[in-house]
Amino acid sequence: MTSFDEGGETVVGNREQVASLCNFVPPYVQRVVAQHAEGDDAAERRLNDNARKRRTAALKECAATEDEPAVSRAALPTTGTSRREVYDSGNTDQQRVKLIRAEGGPETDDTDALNAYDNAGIVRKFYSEVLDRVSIDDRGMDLILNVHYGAKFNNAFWDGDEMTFGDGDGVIFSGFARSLDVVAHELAHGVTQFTSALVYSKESGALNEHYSDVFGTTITQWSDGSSPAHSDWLIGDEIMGPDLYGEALRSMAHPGTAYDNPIMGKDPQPAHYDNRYKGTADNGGVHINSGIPNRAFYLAAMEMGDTVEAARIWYHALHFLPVDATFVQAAAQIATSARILVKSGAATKGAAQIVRDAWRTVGVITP
Amino acid sequence: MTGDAGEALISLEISGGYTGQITRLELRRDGAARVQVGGRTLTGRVDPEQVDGLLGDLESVPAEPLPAEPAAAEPVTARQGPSGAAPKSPATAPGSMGAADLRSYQVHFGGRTLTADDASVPRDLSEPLRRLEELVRAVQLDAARGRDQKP
Repeated sequence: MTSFDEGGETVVGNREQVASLCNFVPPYVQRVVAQHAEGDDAAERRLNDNARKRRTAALKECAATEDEPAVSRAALPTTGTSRREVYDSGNTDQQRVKLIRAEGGPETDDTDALNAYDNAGIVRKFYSEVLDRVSIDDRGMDLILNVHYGAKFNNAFWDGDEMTFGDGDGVIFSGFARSLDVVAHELAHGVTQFTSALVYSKESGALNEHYSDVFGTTITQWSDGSSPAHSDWLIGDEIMGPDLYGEALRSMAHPGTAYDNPIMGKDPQPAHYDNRYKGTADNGGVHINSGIPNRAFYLAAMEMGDTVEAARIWYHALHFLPVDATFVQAAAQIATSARILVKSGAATKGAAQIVRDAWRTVGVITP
Repeated sequence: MTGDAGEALISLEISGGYTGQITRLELRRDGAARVQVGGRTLTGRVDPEQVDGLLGDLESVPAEPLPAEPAAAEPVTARQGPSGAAPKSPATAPGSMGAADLRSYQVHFGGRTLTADDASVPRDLSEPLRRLEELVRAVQLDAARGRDQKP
């Protein structure tokens, strides 16, 4: 049995009863609907803080009733004030070596630190303004970023509570922190950790990677103000070094075509479920098979003509995915989320069909 | 030391990370190097003394290697902010169960296999790994610039 406050009344029920209440309209959807119906100011007045909090709490309660509850999400404590802190690792393998840029503090002349700080600010603003999410964990977690990590370190990663960026070797890859889609990608791993805790292996791991690419590209397009038709849908193109200029790490539009050169070989991403990788490397191909859902997202966003709208649907679904979600489960949940948001007026009519068609095209939903 | 000129004396696999690449390196005693990446095989040659030196350094890594770096006495959490913060390694991060995009490493030599990831590279393995990555990069760039030295 579980209970939560809804509309001033405490609701108590079993899993089925609670689940039946999960088709509510989340706060960011409420705001979109209200903004469509009336002016922005009026909409904000209607959505007072108490109502928003009640609905956010209900959303979390609903997510916790899934078959595989995300233990980490429920167990993590509330956190800070969403402040940004950028540390210089000084090319060591240590984090938080020297604080060089803090929220509202003095500027630094370190370009990578400046870019990391600014990019994290854009990402934070997107989650706040578009998805009504307060930082990574929706509880105001501070954003800790480490730059200049390691020596010629060709990577960026999320380690469970902060982001770390290498400088790259300057030949194949260059500074990872300078790219908005890299920063948004890593920060999204935190969002996924605190929302659905998708296990970083095989299909659930590929979905984890997929969600990071979804938010990486969506936030980049949102920040640029570009439409899906006029976006390149490339991931990692900004960090390719001089010898690989013009290529990228992944293409969401055409997985498997991002690169083909003597240094890196050929992009291994499949675009269709029939061609999925079944080996053990890369945690069961989490960066390889992410190409399949990536293309589904691209197809949906293109058909809708609105990447942010597609991302809202995907984000809604993220709250309800089990930790070991398969592609089939994700496709079903995302289609359900599309239907819910269409019903509430937050997504365009036909979105659910578009989503199903997209997953059908990549072979996850069979005709 | 083990191995002859015809078989790989040292092999390395790096996979994952933000780039998601799977890269394999094989080094022979005579300095022949082979890199497999993205479905391609690149060949090159390195100084055999480098290979011997690397093997010696890898063999000196204890069976239970030392952890990455001394951790801060009390892990610093994001909530604490800069005051009193001490450097720490990713391996000490609280809540690291959600980690993503860490590269994993597997090094095979002399019948032994050492594994690590970006958050847990043992101190003794850090320097040999860095040199092995340099060799991978050198072979890749030689191939890209038409300086393939296929034996």
